[in-house]
Amino acid sequence: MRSFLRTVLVAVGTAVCANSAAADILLLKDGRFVDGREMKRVEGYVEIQYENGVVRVRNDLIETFASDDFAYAPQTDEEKAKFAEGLYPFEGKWLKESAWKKKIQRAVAEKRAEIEEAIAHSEWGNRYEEKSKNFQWHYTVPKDVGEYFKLRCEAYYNKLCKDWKVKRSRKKDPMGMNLYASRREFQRTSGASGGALAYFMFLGSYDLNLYYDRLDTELTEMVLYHELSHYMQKLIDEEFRMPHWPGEAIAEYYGAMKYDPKTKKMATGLLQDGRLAEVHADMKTGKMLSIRDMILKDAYTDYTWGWSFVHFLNEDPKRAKLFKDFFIGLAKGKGVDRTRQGFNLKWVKGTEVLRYFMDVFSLDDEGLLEMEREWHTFVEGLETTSTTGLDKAAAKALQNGYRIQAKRLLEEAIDAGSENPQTFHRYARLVRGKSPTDAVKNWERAIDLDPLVATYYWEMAKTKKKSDKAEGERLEKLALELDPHLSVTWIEVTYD
Amino acid sequence: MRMALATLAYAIVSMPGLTAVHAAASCPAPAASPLPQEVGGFYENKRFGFKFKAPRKWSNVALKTDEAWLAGKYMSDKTYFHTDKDTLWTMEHTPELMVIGFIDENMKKRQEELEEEDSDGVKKTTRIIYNPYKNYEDFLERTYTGGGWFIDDKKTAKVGKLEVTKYQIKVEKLSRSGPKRIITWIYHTDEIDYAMQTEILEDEHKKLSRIIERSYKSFKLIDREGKLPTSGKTHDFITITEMTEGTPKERRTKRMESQELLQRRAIEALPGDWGHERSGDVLLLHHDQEKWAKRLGAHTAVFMKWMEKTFGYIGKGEFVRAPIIRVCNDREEENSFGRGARSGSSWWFSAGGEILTHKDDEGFIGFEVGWVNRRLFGHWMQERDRDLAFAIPQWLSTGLYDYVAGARAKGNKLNFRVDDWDRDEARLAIAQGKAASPRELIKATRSEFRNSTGGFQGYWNRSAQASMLVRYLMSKEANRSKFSKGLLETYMVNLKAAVDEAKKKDNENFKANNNAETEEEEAEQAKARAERWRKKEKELMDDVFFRTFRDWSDKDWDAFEKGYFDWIS
Repeated sequence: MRSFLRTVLVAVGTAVCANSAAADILLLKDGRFVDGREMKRVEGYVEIQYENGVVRVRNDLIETFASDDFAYAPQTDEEKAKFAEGLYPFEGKWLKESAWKKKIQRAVAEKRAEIEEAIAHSEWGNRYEEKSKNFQWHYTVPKDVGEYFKLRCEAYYNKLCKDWKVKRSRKKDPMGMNLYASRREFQRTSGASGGALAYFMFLGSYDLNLYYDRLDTELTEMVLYHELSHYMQKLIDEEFRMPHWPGEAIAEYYGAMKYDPKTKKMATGLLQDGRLAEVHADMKTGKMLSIRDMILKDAYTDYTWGWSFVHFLNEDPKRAKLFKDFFIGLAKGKGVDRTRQGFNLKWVKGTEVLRYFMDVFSLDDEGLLEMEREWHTFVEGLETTSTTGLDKAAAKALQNGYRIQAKRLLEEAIDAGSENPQTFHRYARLVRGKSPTDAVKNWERAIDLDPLVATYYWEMAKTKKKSDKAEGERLEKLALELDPHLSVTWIEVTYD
Repeated sequence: MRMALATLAYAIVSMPGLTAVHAAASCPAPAASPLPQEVGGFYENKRFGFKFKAPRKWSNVALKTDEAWLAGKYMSDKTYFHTDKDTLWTMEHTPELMVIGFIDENMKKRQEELEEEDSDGVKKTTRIIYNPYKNYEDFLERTYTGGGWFIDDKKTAKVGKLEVTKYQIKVEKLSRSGPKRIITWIYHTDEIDYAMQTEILEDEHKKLSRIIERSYKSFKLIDREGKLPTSGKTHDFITITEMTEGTPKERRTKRMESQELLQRRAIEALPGDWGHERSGDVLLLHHDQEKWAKRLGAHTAVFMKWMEKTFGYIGKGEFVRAPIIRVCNDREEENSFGRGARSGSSWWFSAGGEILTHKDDEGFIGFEVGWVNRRLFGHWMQERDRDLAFAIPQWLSTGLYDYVAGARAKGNKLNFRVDDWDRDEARLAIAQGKAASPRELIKATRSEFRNSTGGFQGYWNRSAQASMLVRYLMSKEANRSKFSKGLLETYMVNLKAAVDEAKKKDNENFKANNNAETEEEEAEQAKARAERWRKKEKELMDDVFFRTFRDWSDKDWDAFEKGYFDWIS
């Protein structure tokens, strides 16, 4: 994802050994910085010295490690031979020491400038403010992360404009896209409440707010596309408020879109693994949902069952066309009974949504039940197989109290090669009671994959403390050094 | 002896920052320190050791009794307005100045452990994790609720000999009352950082910033007197557990101790221009509203007697701690009182401590007295029987709270005003044949009450019907019918018996249903658990219904319903 920041410094890897220096800066590929700590490069890692221990960051996680104080240590036989001749490697060429140093110094200076620029824009008061063709951007993430999302949002906008035959009013300013570098900053600056992942302000020139979750870019994209769908739904008729169903279900369906860098287009029709896991969990406990209930009641199930129904309809081209006619018709079709609601927006009651749906699909009561049976069978047959899907399904299983199932799903995700540190973290938490050694191994793996997450050290400390109190306490302190805001709290009650 | 260990850690809480139960344990003891005063145009706080001149005509606002962070608060004499360009709504805002004291010692405290042993010999260790504000930005992040904010400018300067950090903070997104600005100067000293913070509308920034900065520049350190409000267990706080366990005599003693303690603290922490008085079982604290407070006091005394007379069968003999009602000068002062640092007050409120109110512009018949009645009712019920208070079904709690909201004392009597909207809605539903029968309402679970047909409107309509049904059960007319006479009391007594049984059963079920070893067993148990949760409330409702109405025939129901519908119409 990050391309322009990939530099020669990463390419030369272990060859450039930077010793400790107060001015060391480490930039990770996901945009995080470490600054003001002593750091040194060792084989395969950069080590960051904290008061309570060393944190090792793998080279493949590092975008740039910038330091003025460097030295060259040849590793291979060829390097050693060339070094004996006074030659140093740089971008596939062998240079004399003075030329090599100049090149490195320039590269370090450039990187430092880039990093400092990113730091200078990391507070909302100094955010990046840029325009793309259809959006007004405000962001505190690194510039290339901003570019990444700009590209996708424009492709998304173009696709839905074409599919739905809508376009934005040129009389209004482009919609504001506010991308925050962390959830904490999002909650603080956007004013969003605790549980919100993003929000779309449907008044004025519109405003979309979300945060960049560096641990879960897929989630960030999904949330972004979900909220963006609400904007596109507004463009069907700006005086219309789409009912909860189909509004949220459509948003979930388009939330699963993916960008293809080759074609520069967005693909639709992909599975929402997490939502599918929720529907399957409901099915397991016998909580089946009828089409009628789904349409008549505004409920959370519009995100889960609602998504699965829209997915089901869109899998069949004939039904997909009818469904598009239906939701566009809800906003501006003839023969739909609309009422005025808050902010003087037009709206359609649940009973009328159901009537119109049955009308567009030419269904009577029996036909509706037949469609419902077909939908349920279809959903039952859907399977989650990707590691991401397994991760999400496991997370959902845990949330629903299925610990054994969650353990199995996490093991499958790990066996399938999951590189998601959260997978190992969740697994460690599940097994820490019965297999503390196994739990510690999994936290160590999570830390290897993402060494700057304080929670992993904090949780591992609790288990470690039982066998090695001093080590556990050291890890706790290290966790608090990594994140002074760490407010991890828990309740443990044991009775004999 | 049965041995057990319970280790508890708790969610983020600010200093004194303790658990829900122990929140007030580390409250500072205000009595030990001099109260802030206004002297020669200066606000002087000797406990924190500073003084400053507030903007002219701004008024001093009382601080919470257990306040450990705020050292002063002022409100502007003027209200400003902002009209939103998209919604065209006009909102009002009153500028507010706060002084927050970041005491070095408070900010270092991390955790402590308390060991207790209950009457069964079970040992309990409570680990208290402190999470004090780390600095001003952290304070703002955890307390500010006026909208999304960001630091627009931050710089350091010197004012006199003191190092000062100056902030300009903008509040733009989801900002209540319109875009705002927070101007903050932090005076740094070795022991305490003093943050002076004022929130104003962005539209008024040019006009007000000079006035505010002039006030900030008047800040001076003075000699400190008394104890700083640093944390530490004072050993004079009584927990809910202590007040609900033991013999009736022990419980009564603990509650009386708690009442005495809470009242003493509240009185001692009052600013100079506040007064207090007792009326029957209630303590009233008031600011410039003595007449209103006296009238409210007389009303609440009658109300509390009525509660005893009407619901005396609930938790018979349990001592009800006297509530404390704080009567602020106006709504803005009441709102301002609640803003600022978070502390143990949230517990204190829910445990029947202070009830915040102000003089209602609509007079004694207005919303505020109804609000006080609701809080008094909730407090009394919880003091008498917490389990029962939390188990009252939706139809009954809606009806009872609506009923008491309409109570107003006239001499030694309470008159109950009927809510016109409730009455008209219920009558309309009957006329249209859409009204739920009392039998349906009484059997409805919380979810059925909220989610059955009709959406939001349907919910309000059912609430109106529930209010009228309870009003009927409390009426003289109901007392004349053999079916409805004493029905509410019978229902409450049966509810209590059903709740006690369900609680016992629940504990046994929990132990027996967490032993799955395969995914299939786990899925089965989850299914059973989900079903049980769905059924649990339904079972409770059905159980109470059975206990209360088992001898009723359809004919009896018809007679009861006819009496109710005739009365309502």
